[in-house]
Amino acid sequence: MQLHDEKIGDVLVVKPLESRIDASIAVDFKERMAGFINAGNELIVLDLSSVNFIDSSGLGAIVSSLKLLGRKGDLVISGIRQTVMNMFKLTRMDRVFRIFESRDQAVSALAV
Amino acid sequence: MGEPARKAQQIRLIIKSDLESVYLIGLSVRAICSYLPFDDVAAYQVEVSVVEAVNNAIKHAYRNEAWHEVEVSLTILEDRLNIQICDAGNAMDKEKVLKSGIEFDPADTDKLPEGGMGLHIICSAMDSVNYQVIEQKNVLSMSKLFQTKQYQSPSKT
Repeated sequence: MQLHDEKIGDVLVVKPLESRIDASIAVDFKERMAGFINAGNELIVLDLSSVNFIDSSGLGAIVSSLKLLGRKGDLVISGIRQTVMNMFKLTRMDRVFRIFESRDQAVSALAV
Repeated sequence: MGEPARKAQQIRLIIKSDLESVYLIGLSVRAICSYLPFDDVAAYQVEVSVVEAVNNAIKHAYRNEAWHEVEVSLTILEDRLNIQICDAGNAMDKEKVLKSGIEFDPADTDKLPEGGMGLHIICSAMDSVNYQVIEQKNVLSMSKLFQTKQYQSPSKT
């Protein structure tokens, strides 16, 4: 899958360029995120502004990334659309992740 | 004399049991929902419910074997959209389907679920869900009520 990553200070911003994160690419996405985390990135903003669809496999890959970070880091989400946000609410994952409207707000929150 | 009842309209979509083909179903459902009295969130709920059901058929009923077929039929009624997802693979436990739920503590990161959320999503998003085995085919049925005015097909305006 196509991902764009950018380091801003200590914060890594990861932006999927795919419009759909579904079961067909969830494993690849999970492995790519694991690669970033195992490379030492502990503060991650997942910018979902290009994503208009996530299924439970895609959501599971995001959860897996958070779990891999454990207590040593944090993963927050930015740019989420109202429709995709509904997915987080249906699964109560909106209570697990900090979600910010913009990438800059998310980066600022982690950089504190 | 009153207006005759409108006939239900139906479309059937068939894909091979390959996860890489599921997006075709999703996009088709999204396009159909764009013509129906659903807001964006409701349309997304329909799309994701169908995608989850098709994923389950591929992963569990067909154990990821790619040479089978999954059929999705959409029926537009006056006040709702009915959907059926059919496969000829291993059947699910009906009780498990209809009583699915996700229990977790949001603060306990180590125990967050990474999978098994599909049925919960379907049962939460759709207005009714049922599961039957009919003539050796597994049929997951679901429906979503229209939110606003009753549906009037474009050809009739």
